[in-house]
Amino acid sequence: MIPRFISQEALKEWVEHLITQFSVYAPVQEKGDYDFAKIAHAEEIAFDFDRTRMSIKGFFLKPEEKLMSASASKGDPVASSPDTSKRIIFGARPCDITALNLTDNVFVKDFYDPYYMKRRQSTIIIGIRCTEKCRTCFCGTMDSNNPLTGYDIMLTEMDTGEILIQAGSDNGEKLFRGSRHLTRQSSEEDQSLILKTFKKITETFTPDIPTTGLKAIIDLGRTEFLWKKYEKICLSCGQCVFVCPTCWCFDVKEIVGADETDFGNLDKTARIRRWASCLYKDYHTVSGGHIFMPTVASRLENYYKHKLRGIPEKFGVWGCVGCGRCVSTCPVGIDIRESLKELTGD
Amino acid sequence: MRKPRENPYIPFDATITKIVDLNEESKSFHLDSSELRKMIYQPGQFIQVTVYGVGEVAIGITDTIYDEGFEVAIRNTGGRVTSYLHTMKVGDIVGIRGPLGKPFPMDDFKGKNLLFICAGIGFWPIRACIKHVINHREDYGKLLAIFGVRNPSLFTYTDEIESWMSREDMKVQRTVDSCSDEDCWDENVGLITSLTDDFKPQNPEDWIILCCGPPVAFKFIGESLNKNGFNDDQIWVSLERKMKCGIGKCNHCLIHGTRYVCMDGPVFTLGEARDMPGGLD
Repeated sequence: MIPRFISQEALKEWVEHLITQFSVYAPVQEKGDYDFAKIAHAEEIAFDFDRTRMSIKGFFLKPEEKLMSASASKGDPVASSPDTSKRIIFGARPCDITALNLTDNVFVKDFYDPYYMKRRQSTIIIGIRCTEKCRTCFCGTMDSNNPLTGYDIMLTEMDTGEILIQAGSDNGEKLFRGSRHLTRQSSEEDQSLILKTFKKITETFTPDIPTTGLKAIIDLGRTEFLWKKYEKICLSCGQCVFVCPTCWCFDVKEIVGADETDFGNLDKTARIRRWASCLYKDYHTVSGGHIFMPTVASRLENYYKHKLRGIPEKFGVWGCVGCGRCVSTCPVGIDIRESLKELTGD
Repeated sequence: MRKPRENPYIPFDATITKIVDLNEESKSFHLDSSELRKMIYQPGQFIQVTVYGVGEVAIGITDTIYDEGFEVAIRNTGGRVTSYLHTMKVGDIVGIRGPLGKPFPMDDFKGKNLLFICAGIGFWPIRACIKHVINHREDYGKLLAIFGVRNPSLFTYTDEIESWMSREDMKVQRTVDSCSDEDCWDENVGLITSLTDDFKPQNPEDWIILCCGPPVAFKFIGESLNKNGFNDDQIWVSLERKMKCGIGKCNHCLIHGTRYVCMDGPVFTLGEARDMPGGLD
């Protein structure tokens, strides 16, 4: 599709139109921060949001979900079906879309995860490109400010206030059919405006920390000083993991009395999956009591090396998208930007 | 192989058909179901056993396709799942997912002499290798199997071990860490390394070592073998970790942020395991 333009007012009108067809989730202001919530009117959208408190991963990997039901005595496991009604996430930031591209790969590679993927396939992503850095941004460093896939539509505010619409998929193009009257076609005269805006964006998101040598430094193994330093303050609380768009650790457990309509019936079992954190000690504790990563330092090492070494090796991208949510949430002030600087000697 | 779009989190059912006491803390459960009869598995792989409503546990496969039926050997560690399993009866239902993980590359070992080192219940996954090799005896050279347990009462599958001892084309050595006077025996007493220390074949490069046991044993066994001229890439180990999904998603068994024991292992060379800090913890 040739990019089109829409005015800020017309954009709201278009969102109103989308709400009549889909469940639309967008950033709203809540308790002094921004969060994605289902909206009934375009007016609810906090268009001035920088980034939301939580990423969009919870739309696909639910904080808690039932994977299957079974009978304790007879077995007969039956897989749960995720809700696949069509929905729109409006206002996903480029870093979150970059993270989504990663988790899409994770949940398809080797074994297909039907729960994640069915939700993913029934969700339309409308991204809003950042034109300035958010409170904790270092996405330029982590190469995540300009995802090339993972969205159906990307919106970019031009210097003039008008918004450029780019389709990222056939679904994205379809979404605009019928609403073309709200938009205007771009022409050759718009070229300089588009170039100027994108040049400014590119400059805003140039890397702050050099990461070229990171792999070599980690492989050299001279990283222990950092884990030892953080071990003294890290609480192993796992908050950084929960807010992280590229953390997908989960626990799986079996429960009884799992049928809400027949609660006393202990024969009704379920398999539950819920978010977990590799920073927890019990995450690595096996039956018999052995703990495979007994120290906070060993768990921090695993956490950082997964993001900076393991994920790049397996998936070709950093396991950090530079949103800095972990920086905002960490109760003791551990800052991954400082970690990167210490590792790279910057 | 599992079909790509099948749901990998859902087990299939199997019925317990027979339960055998292996020793005071371990039992073998014979299982049967139509899906199980179709399951193709190789030495070194593992399965996930579900007790519905209680939990799921990763268990190394000790069975081989050369035996009738399918059995899993399970030690009661005191954990939720294994202790519950030990109360189950013939006719009860469990769930099975698998086979999972990479097997020992038995074909790559063809033409080599093999040393099997079985420390404690680490014997069980190696048992599948030994049985595989015996069924393809002409493909492999000399065979030596070393078994070590804490005391004589803890040996399992003793009849099988003794049948291997009686073979002319295979050597077997057993040891116990210690034994009391009334319960002692006339074979070796001492740590498993007391036997590997004495294993000094003329051409160590012709040997492959398959080893399973508690991770701490790998360090000492590795040192003992290194001293006798074996390098870490000849020594294969099977690692244990906390596991949940078994399919490389949940991250529980990730070592050093880079390797999944469930997908990249559980079988590694000792060299690979050493290269991952914490790999042998």
